[in-house]
Amino acid sequence: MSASNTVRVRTDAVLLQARSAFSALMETGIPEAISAFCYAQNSVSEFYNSQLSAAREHYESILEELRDMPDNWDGYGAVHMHERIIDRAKSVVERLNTLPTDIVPHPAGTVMLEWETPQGRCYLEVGLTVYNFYAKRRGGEAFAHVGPSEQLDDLEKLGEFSKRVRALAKYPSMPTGVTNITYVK
Amino acid sequence: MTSLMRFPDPVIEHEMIVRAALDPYHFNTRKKPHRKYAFHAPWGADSISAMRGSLLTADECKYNAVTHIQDSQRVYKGFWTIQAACIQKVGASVFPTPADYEGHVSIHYGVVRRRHEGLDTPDEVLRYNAVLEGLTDAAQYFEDEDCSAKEWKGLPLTVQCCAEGSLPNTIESATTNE
Repeated sequence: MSASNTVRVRTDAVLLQARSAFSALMETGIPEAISAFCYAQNSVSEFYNSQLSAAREHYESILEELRDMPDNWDGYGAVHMHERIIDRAKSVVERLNTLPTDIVPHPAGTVMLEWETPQGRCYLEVGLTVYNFYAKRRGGEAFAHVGPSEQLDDLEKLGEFSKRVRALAKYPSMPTGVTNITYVK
Repeated sequence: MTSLMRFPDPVIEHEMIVRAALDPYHFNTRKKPHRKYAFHAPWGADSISAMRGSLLTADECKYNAVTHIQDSQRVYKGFWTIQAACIQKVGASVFPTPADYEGHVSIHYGVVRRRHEGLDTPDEVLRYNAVLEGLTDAAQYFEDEDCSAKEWKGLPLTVQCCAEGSLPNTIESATTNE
């Protein structure tokens, strides 16, 4: 079964539980309905957490693949990914609640964690000593921030990014795909 | 026709600028052309390479792409087209650089990236993204249906018009395969 089918089946199961909760309300009264609703809510939460965890693992494996990219991976003289950049990007992915929609290696040898939704786009570019954060809502003004990469170890700083990322998405975003550039070793 | 007459200097705003699309660098895992990759400037330079598509024929652009750009690591697949006016409108500039080959131009971002580093100031980040987003929004992709053929085998190269003036909304390449 494909991932999208799995998601649909799981979502359908949660909806079914919500429907039975509604039926319980109509047929048996409030206490039973509350119990059924709580069960449905827990299912949603469990489902979301399991998907988040799977997506996080997937991203970490992609970042490990980027670690192996050699110099000139694009044929235009791109730089290999520095170990410390990959380690820091992995550490960020481990701690973010709103995972990127894409992970993009930049020819300069940096890693870009991107969030792109119909509401706008933002990214966090992890460099060796400097990071860039950029956010732009559709039709709005762009925002940019530059800081020393060590700041990315600061949970409060990550919270700031999450806030801006969440502002772009109506709901917590799930990854829509990871762009993985193939290259010749 | 002399080279000077054929390739006037500077680039005029209505000109079509053509950039070769290369696999795998400009494509995602689903083998779809990926605009953001196509216009990323490399580290240590503030420019990317392109060609003067209004002055070169589509066949000549293909010849340049296959001869001067394609190698064992990057395979030519087609072209991105963008009008010179669009490039200027987003804050970048385009200059003829015929030393590389006849009809070659460089699109300048005005921002140089360092090896293994992000950009140094918020202003640079804003400028770089304004250019990148502007270029990717304005660019159109044309696939070459037979990359092994000597001639261009895709749809006639056209460009979306950003320039003010009375020219038509699309400018076709100097010659097409029709």
